[in-house]
Amino acid sequence: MDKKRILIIDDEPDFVRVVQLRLEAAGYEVLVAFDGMQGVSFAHKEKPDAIILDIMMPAMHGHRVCETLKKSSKTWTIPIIYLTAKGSKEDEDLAYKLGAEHFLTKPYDPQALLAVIKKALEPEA
Amino acid sequence: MTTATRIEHRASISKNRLPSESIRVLLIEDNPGYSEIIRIMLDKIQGTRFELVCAKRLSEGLHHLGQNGMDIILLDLKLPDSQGIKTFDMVYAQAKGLPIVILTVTDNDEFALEAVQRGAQDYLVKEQVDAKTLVHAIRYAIERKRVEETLRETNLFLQNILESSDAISILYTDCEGTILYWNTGAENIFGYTAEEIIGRHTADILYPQDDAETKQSIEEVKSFIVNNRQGTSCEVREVTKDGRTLWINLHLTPRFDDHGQVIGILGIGQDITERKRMEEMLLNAAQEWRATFDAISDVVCLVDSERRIIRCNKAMTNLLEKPFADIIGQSCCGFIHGTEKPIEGCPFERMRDNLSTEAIVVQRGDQWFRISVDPLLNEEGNLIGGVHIMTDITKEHEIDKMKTELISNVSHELRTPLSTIQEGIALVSEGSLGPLHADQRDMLTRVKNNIERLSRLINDLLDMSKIEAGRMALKKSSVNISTLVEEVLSSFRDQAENKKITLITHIHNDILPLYIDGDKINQVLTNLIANSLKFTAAQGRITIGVKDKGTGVEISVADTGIGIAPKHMPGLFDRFSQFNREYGPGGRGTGLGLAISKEIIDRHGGRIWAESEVGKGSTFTFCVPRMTEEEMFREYLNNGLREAQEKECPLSLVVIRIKNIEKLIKTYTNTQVFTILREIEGLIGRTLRRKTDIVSRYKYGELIIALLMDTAKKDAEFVKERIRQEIEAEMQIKGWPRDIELFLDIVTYPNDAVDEKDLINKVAMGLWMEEGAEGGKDG
Repeated sequence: MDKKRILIIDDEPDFVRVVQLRLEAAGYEVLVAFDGMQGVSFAHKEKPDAIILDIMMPAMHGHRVCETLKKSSKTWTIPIIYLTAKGSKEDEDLAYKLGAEHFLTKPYDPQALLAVIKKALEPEA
Repeated sequence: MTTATRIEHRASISKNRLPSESIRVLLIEDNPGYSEIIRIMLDKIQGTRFELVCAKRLSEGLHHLGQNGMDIILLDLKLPDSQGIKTFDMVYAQAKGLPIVILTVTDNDEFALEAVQRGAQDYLVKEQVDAKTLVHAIRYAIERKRVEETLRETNLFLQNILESSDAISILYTDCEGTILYWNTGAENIFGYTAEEIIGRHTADILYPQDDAETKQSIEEVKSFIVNNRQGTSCEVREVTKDGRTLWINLHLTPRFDDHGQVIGILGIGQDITERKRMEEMLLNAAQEWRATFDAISDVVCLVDSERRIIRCNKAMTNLLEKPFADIIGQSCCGFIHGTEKPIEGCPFERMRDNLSTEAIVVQRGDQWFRISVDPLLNEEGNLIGGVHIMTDITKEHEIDKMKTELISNVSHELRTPLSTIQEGIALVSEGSLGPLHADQRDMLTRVKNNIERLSRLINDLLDMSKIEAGRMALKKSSVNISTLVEEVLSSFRDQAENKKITLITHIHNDILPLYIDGDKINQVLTNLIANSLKFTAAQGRITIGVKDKGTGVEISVADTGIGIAPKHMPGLFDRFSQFNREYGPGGRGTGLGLAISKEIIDRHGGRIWAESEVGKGSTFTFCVPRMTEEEMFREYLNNGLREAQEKECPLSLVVIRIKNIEKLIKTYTNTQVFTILREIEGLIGRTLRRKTDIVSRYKYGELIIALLMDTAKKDAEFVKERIRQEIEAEMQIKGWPRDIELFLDIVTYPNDAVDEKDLINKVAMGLWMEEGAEGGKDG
């Protein structure tokens, strides 16, 4: 079976790098986008199996990215996992409302992140 | 007997005797012939009986006088044993006020004239006396004497009054102010004797330093009395002989002559210096108090026990933009808050209930105030009101807000780099980036521990800033508390083992789920256990107890650690309180852990407390109240409804019910049926895709309700069908009784109902109607 591909959309290169290493160590293939616009465009082009999304980013805000992807017929099935330092209840509620599958805050627990990704990738019952 | 009654008494005797009884006349006359003429004359008088007593010598006359009972004396001055004015003086001295009429030979008898001057009533020339003249003279003399006596008594009486008033100065002046009379009281008060002062001007005793205006007004008082012919009173400052200044309250009355002209002014004065001094002191004290009260920048008012404002300071009038007069006497509820009853949380009511003076913070427009009420007690210690103090803390509040925001922002900013460091270290230490030798691994473990600590500190700060900003929201759900406790414990097992501390648990079995924020309660328990681990030495014990108390669950963490000194107990749950337990390997915390824990438990409507003994250990206990399924459902529904109303989106409720539940309970057991219900609930929970969807129970658990946020009725139909299929599939797998009759329905806001009550009614009633209809079909 092919490696599952995960797109990380986050403007912090160092953070992206450690998450990338963590996911690669867990056997995933990782794609990286450093702002929201790039993220949306990669999601359309590459059709990743899951997306890890930050909120505070240049070019396009995380919530806008989520909304755009969930509205597009090409990308709406891709599970979106928020991973952000901005962990207010409003953000979480909005994320779920926009159709995100999970909402995690930084600093994250690696095991929890992997578990959530695994769950997001499971075919629907 | 007082002077007044004596006068009246005498007057009444004289009045009564004159017309009715006989008049006794003592005639002192050496000529028996003339005595006989007088007797004959008196005998002739009709209507009045005269009794004549004759004395030929002075000594004889005086003897008769000594025996009383006479009404008048007729006296010849030329007697064998006394002649001239001396005779009169002797008789007058013995006459005790009896009228004396002198009998003389010639009209210009110098002795007779002198006698009249000295007090005789009249004199008669012997040759000119006839009966009529005599009787007239006698009657007139008696009457005149009576009037004179009355006058004399009255004068004496007045004199007595004037002189006996030694604390009241009475003086009389002419219209120009020259003193003509000066009583003992005046002597006492001013120190001048009558001789010294009479003839001097009143201006001499006025206070010389009075300003021109005062002097002018005193002159005006004088001319007022003279011109208007009426009395008045005034307060003036006067100076005593020895130079003391006195305040005198003067009542001034004009005195008139027979023609009604004002001829003088009578002044009655009272020394009011002491009263004036007291008045001035009181006035000063009142002014001083008022000035102090108004100088206070806090808004202060005094409220009586009926909640009426009895006093307020200037800051309050400024705040309310109303004058004193409008505020005083008003009820604080109606006037300030516009409510009939005290507002919720009114600090005055709290103070009245339990004398609590704890301050509250309120917002008023752009301003923030801290309000406290101190009790106002009377001398018996009874509560008669309160002192309501409002301190403007707008500035502090802003600084506090800035601080909270700063902490929040900084903490957020710290999270991303921290996260990168943490994960980077984790990846290296796990060997994901290549093998490590022991020293490297050890070093990385230390780094990792410290990063975790840093991470906890930042989280604490963030939590606290959320609490302070009032933004800590609870995400409640149905939580199995035993599982939660086990989870927390498992995260501590390694640490406890390393420290050689035994973890003991006493957990009640089968604790029903609680409707709580699981993450937050986890945080509280984690904090308590971490604290215990920090302060307990090797070989110690930490016992975690979970007790189901029915209305709630009580969780306790007891350690055999070093304990907390009694003096640190009161502020234990305050922010930044680091009680002096000595720090173990875990080191210093933020001092926020317990404050955050308390806030979390408070927000759950629970309670947290601690017991401790130095050297023996500490026990921290918290209890979380259990909400009934009904309460849980209502809370879910209310939250969902509020959100739906705010965001103007629909909210659908899928209601699942076992139609023949009563029959099932009879066939199987209660437990069996409710186990099935719980399993269905769990199944539905797994079926719902979105995290915002919620499963709840209602009507003592008989109804299972799925709340679907932002879901229209037509979309809810799909969910309903999916749920039906899932349950039917589960029935087959689990082998549940085949005779379960399920009923599913949908109630949508705003299509079916627009408020909570209506929604609940529809949830319950729609079912009964449907059941009835189906029942009809079956029959």
